[in-house]
Amino acid sequence: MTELEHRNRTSYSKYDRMSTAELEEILRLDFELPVADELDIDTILYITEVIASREKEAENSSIPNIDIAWNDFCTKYFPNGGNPLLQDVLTDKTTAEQKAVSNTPTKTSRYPIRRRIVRVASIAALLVTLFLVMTATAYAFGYNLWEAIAQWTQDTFSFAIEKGEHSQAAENRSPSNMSLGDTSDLQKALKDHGLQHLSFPTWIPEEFSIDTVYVSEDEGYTDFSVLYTDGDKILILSAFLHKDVPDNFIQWQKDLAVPVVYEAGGISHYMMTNMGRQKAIWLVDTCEYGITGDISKEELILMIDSIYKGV
Amino acid sequence: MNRFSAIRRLLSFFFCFVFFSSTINFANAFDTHASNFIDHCYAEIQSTSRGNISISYFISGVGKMDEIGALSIYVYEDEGNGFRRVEEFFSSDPEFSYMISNNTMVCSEKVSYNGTIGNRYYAQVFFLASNDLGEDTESFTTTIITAT
Repeated sequence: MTELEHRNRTSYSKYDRMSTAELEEILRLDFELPVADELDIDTILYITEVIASREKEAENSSIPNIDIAWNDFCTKYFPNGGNPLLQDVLTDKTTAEQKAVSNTPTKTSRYPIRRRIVRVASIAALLVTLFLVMTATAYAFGYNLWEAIAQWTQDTFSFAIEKGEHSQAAENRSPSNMSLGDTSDLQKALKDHGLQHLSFPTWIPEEFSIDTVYVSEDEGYTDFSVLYTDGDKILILSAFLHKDVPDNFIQWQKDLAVPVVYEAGGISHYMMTNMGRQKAIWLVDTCEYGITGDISKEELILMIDSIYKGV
Repeated sequence: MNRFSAIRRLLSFFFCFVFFSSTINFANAFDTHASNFIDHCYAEIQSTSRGNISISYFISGVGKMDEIGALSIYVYEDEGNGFRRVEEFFSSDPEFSYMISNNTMVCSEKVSYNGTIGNRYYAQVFFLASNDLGEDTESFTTTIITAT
């Protein structure tokens, strides 16, 4: 032992004579004191060592001291006397003095609770922060965690599927050498572009007539869209064929309302509105279909039904 | 200042941070919106050959639009130390004026970028659709690919 250690040991010897409870009280009070009045770190370490060594001795003892354990339980775990079950036990096991001490609400009993709340709040805040940071990072990389759970909570709608679910789709379906052009008949247009396998409604509200047919092709997709008009009113049918299972899908604009699922032909059709216009979106293999128009909901359902039943 | 005050201040900072982060996230979440001009849009990034990548996009308006297409496209690259913007395409640049089509309902175009084999890329496309009633914009972020 060095001389410095010996001197410290001597000045700290008073702590050796104190009970463990007193030492714990010193540490607790030190925690609440202003920084200027706090104990120095060596003193705190020494007290901690004393407490630790006493606890170790107690652990090593082959026969536990039941009285010490009971008193310890009463003072540490029954500070306010709030538990009537324990209170009954105490009536039998402890003296009136012990009960008085344990039932007296003291500052000592409040702080551990507050500290526990602070600790829980800290962990909660840390977890929330971590979650937000991870969400932001994921979003920056093109993944939206919320979208994967409920895609129509935002004002857009999109599909998200796992690769493999549609692995057989789209084989040799994409014709080549297609061009943008006008045509007057939908089925003829589909046939002209080798897209007769696409399933479009066979019933359209009679007031609408074809304005323009658009066909767009890229390495990754083919789009076939038809614009119907009736004066200022519009009706759009579209089929967007991914040539392979895509990593992401079309982003459809929609109003805030939750889409309604309409089942027809064994396929889920998601019905919603965009700026009040009726809209339906559905997925067959890797082809995304959409209907948007100035039509009623009943007309939209009739159009969907006509794909599978004919009207 | 005792330790309890320090913890309280730290907690206050945490809760403020959490509150403002949530606000920003909600703001981002509602940045997308229903549109009277854009019906749907899509973009994809593909590695073609020898490090070259292409960004294709498609947009459909709600009927014919005076202008429809991509206003700008940003390409981001990760050389192994995080993504950074490496290329920008603007429809206002005469070379890329084809990114916007006129008097039509749909626009489907692409741009190319000479990347480096092994590096990762993604793109962000900013769409525009406008007619005499007004205009609307929307963005679409592609997935990440590795140039081959």
